[in-house]
Amino acid sequence: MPGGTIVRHDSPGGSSAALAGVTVLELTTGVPGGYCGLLLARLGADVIKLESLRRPDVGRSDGPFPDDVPDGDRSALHRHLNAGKRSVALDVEDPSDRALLDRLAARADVLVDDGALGTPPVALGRYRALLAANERLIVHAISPFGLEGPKAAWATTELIDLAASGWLQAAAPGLPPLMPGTPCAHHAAGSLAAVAVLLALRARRLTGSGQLTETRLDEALLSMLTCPTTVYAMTGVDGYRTGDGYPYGIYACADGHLGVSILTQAHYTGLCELMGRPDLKDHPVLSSGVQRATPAVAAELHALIRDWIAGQPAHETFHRGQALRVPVAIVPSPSEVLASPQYEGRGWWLDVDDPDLGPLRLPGLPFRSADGMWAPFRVAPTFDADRTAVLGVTP
Amino acid sequence: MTQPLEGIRVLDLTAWQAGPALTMILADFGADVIKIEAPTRLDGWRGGAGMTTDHAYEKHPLWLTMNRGKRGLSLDLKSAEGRDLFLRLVAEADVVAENYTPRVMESFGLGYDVLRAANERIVVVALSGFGATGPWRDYSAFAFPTEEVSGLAFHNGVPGGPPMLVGHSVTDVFAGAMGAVAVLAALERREVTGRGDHVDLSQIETLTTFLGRELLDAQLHGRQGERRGNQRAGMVPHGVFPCRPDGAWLAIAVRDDADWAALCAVLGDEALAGDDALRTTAGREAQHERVDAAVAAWAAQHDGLAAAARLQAAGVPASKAMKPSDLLADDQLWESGFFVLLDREFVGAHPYPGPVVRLHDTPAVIERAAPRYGEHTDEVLGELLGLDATELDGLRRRGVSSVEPLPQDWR
Repeated sequence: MPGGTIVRHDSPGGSSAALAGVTVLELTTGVPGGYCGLLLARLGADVIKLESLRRPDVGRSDGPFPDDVPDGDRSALHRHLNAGKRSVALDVEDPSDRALLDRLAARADVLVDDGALGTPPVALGRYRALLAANERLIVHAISPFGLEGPKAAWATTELIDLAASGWLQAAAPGLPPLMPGTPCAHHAAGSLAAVAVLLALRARRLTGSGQLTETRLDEALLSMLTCPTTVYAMTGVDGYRTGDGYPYGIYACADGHLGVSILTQAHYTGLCELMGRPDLKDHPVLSSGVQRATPAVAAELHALIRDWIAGQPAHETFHRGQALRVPVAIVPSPSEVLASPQYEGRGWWLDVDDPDLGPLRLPGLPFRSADGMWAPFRVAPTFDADRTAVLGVTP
Repeated sequence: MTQPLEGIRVLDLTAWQAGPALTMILADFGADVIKIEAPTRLDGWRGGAGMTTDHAYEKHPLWLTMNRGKRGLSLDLKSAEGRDLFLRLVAEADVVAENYTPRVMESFGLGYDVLRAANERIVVVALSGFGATGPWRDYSAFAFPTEEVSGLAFHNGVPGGPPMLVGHSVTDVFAGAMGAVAVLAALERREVTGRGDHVDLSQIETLTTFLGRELLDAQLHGRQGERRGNQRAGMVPHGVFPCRPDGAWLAIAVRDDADWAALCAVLGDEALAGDDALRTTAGREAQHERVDAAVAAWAAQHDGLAAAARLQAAGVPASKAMKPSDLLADDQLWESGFFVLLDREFVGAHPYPGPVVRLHDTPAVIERAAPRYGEHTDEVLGELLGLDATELDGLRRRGVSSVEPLPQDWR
C-alpha cells in the first residue's frame, strides 16, 4: 500500500520496540502463521514474508477485495494481517530460490513455516539442516499433528483441525456439532506460535542457541477448550458444551440479541433486580446456587429470562444490567463493533487512508503497553516490494 | 535442563480462567508462579457456591488443570498487613498478573504506580474484560460476555438461525495466550531497557483483532457475515456426518477436484464418480444436498476413527469429531507425550493436557500438580521475606492467611 497514510493511531508507539533487531522469515500461508508474524512485526521484529504466487497467503487470497475482484495486492485482509511486514517473492520449489532461502536463514533469528518446506517427515530434515547451518536460528513449525507420529502426514483444513482437537465434541440441541463462524481458533493458535517464538528467544539468552519449536494444532486447539479431557478422566462426562441456555445463553430481545451469564450469587440477585423481580431474590428454590445447577431449575430460569428479555431493548438492557454488575452483553454485528463507544473511547482503531481501498478502519493492537513495547504501524507490503532492500540485488 | 523462564517469579492474582491460562504457560516453561488467594475469597474456578464441604474446592478438574505447577499462597490483600507483605513480594518478583475489573487493584491500594515504586523492573499485566479506560471499563465480563461483545459470537450459528456461543470458554484462553505474549515481550524488552511495563489487555480488543476479514468486509461491502453453519465457500462436501458408534460425527472437507475423486474412490460410489457435473467445485456446490446425502449414507455405515483413517490414506482431509475419550485414547497425542500424568491429593492420579507449544531443546516441565489451598504459604513467606514461625502463626490468627479457607464473603 505505497502512499497509505495513517489518519489516526492513538496507541503509543515506543522508541524501543520489544523485538527490535530480531529478523523473522515468514514462510507461512495460513492464518496461524500470518497472525503470529503480525504480532512479531508489531512488536518490532523485521518480519520478511517470503511468498510465491503458487502458494498465496491467506491475507492475499481471502479478500475482501474492492468490487469483489480478486487481487492479492488489493485485499483488505492483507492490509490487516500483513501490516508491518516486508515482502520478498521466493518459491521454495525453485532451486535458486532455495539457495536464497538458505542464505537468508543463515543470518536470521527466526523462521516460521507452516508446510512450505514439505510435509512433516521431509520438513523435519530441512529444519535440522537449517539449524545446523545457523546455531542461533529458531525454527517454528506450525503443523496439524506435529512432525512425527501416526497422523503427521494427515491433510487438514480448519474444520478438520477443529474436529481432531475436540472442538466439535458436543452439539447444541437439534443441531450437528458446529464450527465457529470465524477462524478464531487459528488466530489463537497464531498467538501461541508467537508465545513459542518469544520463549525460544528467552531461552537463547540463557543457552546461546536457537532450536526447533512447534505449534501442533491438535494440541494447541485442545488446550483452548475448557479442560474436557480432565473432566472426562475425573468424572466420566464424555464431552460437553455450555452456552445454549441458563446459566450462559444468548436470547432474542426486542431489537437483536443479548447474552446473559450468571456465575455467582451476586449475578443472580442482580438479575432479579434487572428483571424487575426482586421477589425472586429469596425464592426458596431459584435463589439456591445448588438448585440452579439442576437441569429442571435451570430450564425454569431460562424460560423466565427468555420471556422477559424478548421485550427489552439491547443496548439499554446491556447498560442497565452492567450497572447492576450482571454480565449482560450485546451481540454486535461487525458494523456495530466498528461503531462501539468502548473501542472509540480507547482510541483503539487504526484509521488508515488507503489509496486503493479508501478510508479503512483496521483492528488496533491486542494490548497496550505503558512503556511503549510496540513498533510504529507500517502498512502491508505489495508483493515482492522489498526484494532489493532485503536481498541487496536488483530484481 | 535449562527452562526459558527459570529465575522468573510471578505473583499470580488471577482467578477463573483467562489469567490462570496465562500463568499456566509461564509455569509450564519454568517460572516460579505464586498463586495468591485470600482466605475469604477463593478462585471462582474451583467450583460452585460454598465449596467448603469435604474439600470440594480441592477437587475441581478445571481448577486442577489450569493451576498445575504453581505454588499456593494464602494472603488477604484487603488487610493492611497482607498488602504490605504483597508489596515486599513485589520487590522480589518479575511479574504481577491480575484479571480483575480495573477498579479492584486501585481499591487494594495496589495500582501500577504503587507496584512500580516497590520494583521498577516489575512487569504488570492486567487482563480485564474491556480495558482499563473507556466508558465500559468497569463492566464485568467472563468468557461468554467477551465472546459476545467482541463480535465473535455474532458469526456463530446456522443459516437463518440466531447467534450462538462456541460452547467452551475458549475466549478466556485466547486472552490468556495473548497475555503470555505480553509478558514475554515485556521481559524481552526489559533485557534492553531495564524497565518493567504495565500491560492493559482488554479482552474484547484481543478478540476483535481476530475479526479482520469480517470487519473489513463490512466496511468495503456492507456485508455483516452470514451464519454459515459448517459450510465454507469452495468446499463441497464440507461438514460433519453422523457415523458409528451412535452419537459420533465424522468431519470431511473436500478442498478441490482431486480430493473429490479420492473421496469417490473411498466411497466406492460409481454414480458419483462418473458424474461429470460433480467434477468441479461449482458443480458440487449446485448439487451439494445430493453430495451430502451420499456422504452421509456412507458415513452412517462406518466407524468414525476407521473412516477418517481410510479417507486420510486416500488424501482426503477428514477426522472423527473427537470426544474426550477419543483424545485420551489417541496414539498421536500419547506418542508425542502430550498428556501428563499427575498425582494429586484428594483426587488421585489423572492425565492432564500438556504444554500449549513445544520447544525441543528447552521443553516444558510439568511435574507438579496444582497446589493445595495455601500449601506454600509458609515456604514462600519464609523463603522470600524471612518470616519466622511466630510471625506466620500471627498472620493466621489475624486472618491475613489461613490453612483452610475461611467462610467466603462474595457468594
